Amino acid sequence: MSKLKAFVIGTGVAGFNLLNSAISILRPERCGGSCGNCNYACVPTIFVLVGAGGLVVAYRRLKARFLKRRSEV
Amino acid sequence: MNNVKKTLLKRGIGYIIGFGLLYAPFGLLQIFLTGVLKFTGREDIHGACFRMALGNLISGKGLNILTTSGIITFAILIVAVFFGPQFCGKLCFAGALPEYASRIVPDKLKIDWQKYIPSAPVRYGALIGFLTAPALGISVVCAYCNYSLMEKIVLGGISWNLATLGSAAILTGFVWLFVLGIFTKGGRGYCTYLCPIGAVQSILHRVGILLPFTYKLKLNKESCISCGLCAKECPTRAITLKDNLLKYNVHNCIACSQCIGTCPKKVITFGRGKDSWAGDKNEQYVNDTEGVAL
Repeated sequence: MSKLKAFVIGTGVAGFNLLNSAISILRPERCGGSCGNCNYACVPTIFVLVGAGGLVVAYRRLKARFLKRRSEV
Repeated sequence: MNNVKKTLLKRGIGYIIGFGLLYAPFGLLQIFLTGVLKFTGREDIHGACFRMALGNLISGKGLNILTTSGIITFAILIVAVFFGPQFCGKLCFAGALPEYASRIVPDKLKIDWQKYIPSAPVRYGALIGFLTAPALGISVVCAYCNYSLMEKIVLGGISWNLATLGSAAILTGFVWLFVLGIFTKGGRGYCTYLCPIGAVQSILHRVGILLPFTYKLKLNKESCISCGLCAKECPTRAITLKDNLLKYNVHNCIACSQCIGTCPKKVITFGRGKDSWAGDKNEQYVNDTEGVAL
């Protein structure tokens, strides 16, 4: 992995963590995430990120399987 | 019982002790610190909270060592310098739970996330965000804490009241126990990608191994039969086998000693001295014919 890629990933995650933490301004300390006063702004973001990660993995796996099968044929 | 199971059992006892020491309804360590040594702090997992102690330090309030969280954080970090991330590898129940649970899931259903997303930048990036937030006056969201969730689940389970778990807790549980847990190779995805206390310990361990009097993982290359069992059993994928190369990544190592207990020839050791596996260009060639396909 290139240093640039590592830096970009690291900065992105740090930024995301900061933004996610900033949401705590809208909600009380040690919020259990149940009152909804913050409109759960963080939840869709995380679901999108996790979902996108899952899709990327699934795509790469399927692509690898497809290429393997094609090379066998 | 084979070596793998023996080591797992031995480690499992440590995690159960860790649970009793740190989590409510027991919290024996915090009770000892508050009751006997008269430190201030809570007698549950929040009394051992790393964020509170470090948050105070970063935001300029200073590290109040005379609290339960201050003393526990300080102890964990000092141990990490001299002995590696022993807390993660020997006591952390929240990390061990998905790891042990993942052993009942077939390997073909598990994802090796590190093939796709490198753990070090994610882990240290998350740590930087975690540490910068208090300095900017932003509080880190406790709702995404797996330690806190672990305790909530246990306390909720005891009182049959899991309704207190909100959306953030459910999301955290989903990521910690499933996405980065039982469906991740090794089961320690949360530890390797997101845990801030593990990240700090790894940095301290990485610095610590440069010193001759600290403990570190060592490999006796001459006696290694290249069976690859250590790589197969490593819960954090700190030891991996790729292109017939056995690689050791000290940043992922949690000093759990699973590799030491698993090794049939006992060529992996944990000891003092200048030599370390991590300092050995992080790799070791594996015999093609005897290597285990992972």
